[in-house]
Amino acid sequence: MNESYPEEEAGHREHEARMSTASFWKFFEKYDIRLRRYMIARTADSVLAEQIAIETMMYAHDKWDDLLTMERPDSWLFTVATNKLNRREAAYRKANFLREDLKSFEDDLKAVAAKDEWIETRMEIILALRLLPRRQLEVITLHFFADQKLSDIALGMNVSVGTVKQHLSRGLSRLQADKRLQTVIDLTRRIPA
Amino acid sequence: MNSQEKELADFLRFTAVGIDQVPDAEAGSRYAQFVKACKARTERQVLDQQADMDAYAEAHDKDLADYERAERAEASGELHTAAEWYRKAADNDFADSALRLADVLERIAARHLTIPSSRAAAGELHLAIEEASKSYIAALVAGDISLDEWEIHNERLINYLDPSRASTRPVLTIAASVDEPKTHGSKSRPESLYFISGDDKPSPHKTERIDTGPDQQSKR
Repeated sequence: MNESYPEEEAGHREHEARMSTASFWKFFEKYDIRLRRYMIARTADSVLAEQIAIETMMYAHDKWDDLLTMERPDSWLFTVATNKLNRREAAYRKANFLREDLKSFEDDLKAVAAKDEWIETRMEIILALRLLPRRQLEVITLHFFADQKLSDIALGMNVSVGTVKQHLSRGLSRLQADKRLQTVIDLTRRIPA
Repeated sequence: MNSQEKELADFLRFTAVGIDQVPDAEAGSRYAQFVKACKARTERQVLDQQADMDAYAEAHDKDLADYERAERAEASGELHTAAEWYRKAADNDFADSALRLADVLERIAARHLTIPSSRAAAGELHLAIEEASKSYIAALVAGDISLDEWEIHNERLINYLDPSRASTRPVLTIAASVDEPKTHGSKSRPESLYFISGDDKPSPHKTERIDTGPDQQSKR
């Protein structure tokens, strides 16, 4: 049995709590904005996206001690947020609450872009992404925006890695055919590295 | 991935640069606001929020369990049971359950062609095809199948309703990459529906031949 004085134990607990808070702060700094922007790219309703992003980050805060035991707490974060978003969207879609057309996508993005320059400078790209079929959108945004491995994405989506690769390839092919996006890519090519 | 796809992938990586940088207006205050919001919650609100998030995780686990039950039923040939479980999972847009449901319903429809016709059987055939058609559309919209694949499935469904039409239509073909076997979800496609024709020599693209109707199925 590990014997220690109550003062030492209290000090140890306080130290652990401080470390835990410090590590959560680092996690928050690294993933909060990334999660928010990933969610905005994913859905037609940026209000819903921001709401779920905040709820998920609070959930991570409340469960931080459990998350510390995980190899990749960020994978947990993005999977939980994605699953909640998918479920909410499925319910909204059934009730015809979700507007998934070009005009609605544009209006919604303009509102977010007004307060976030990162979104504003990538409006055309995010718009092209939002127009993808949702599995392709999910794989592409999780891989490139959330920085998740294809194997982790497959686990989260409950499909094989082969299927994830297929969604990725099909999504990229569709983006290639998007003329507006092609113009943006051509313009980017002119920017010196 | 071909060179164009690689170029686009690089472009998307370039696009993501700075995704974790806080906007100037929120710099320094975002974490403070978050902590304030966390602390402002009452104990009851914290528990409610956690229960809400836990409920989503449980619902996801339930969908997974339904999907796995469907897979087991499908593997043991209990197609109606499989359809029932896939339907539950598809209702929540879980994985590729809409596509799997459509596949199972199509196989139920195919079974009806081998049994003596009755009014009840004809009704069930129509219902199965109607639901399969809707499920294939759901799979198309979700991106589980391409437009070309959907057209083939749709053509085949119409042929189930009018077998005489099938004999007048040519066998449809789609190109499939050898490196990327056509899979949906965690399993490959049922062999009764898809097969690769031609020799075994590897080539950049093989043609995957797909039956367009019950005529071809009954020949095998």
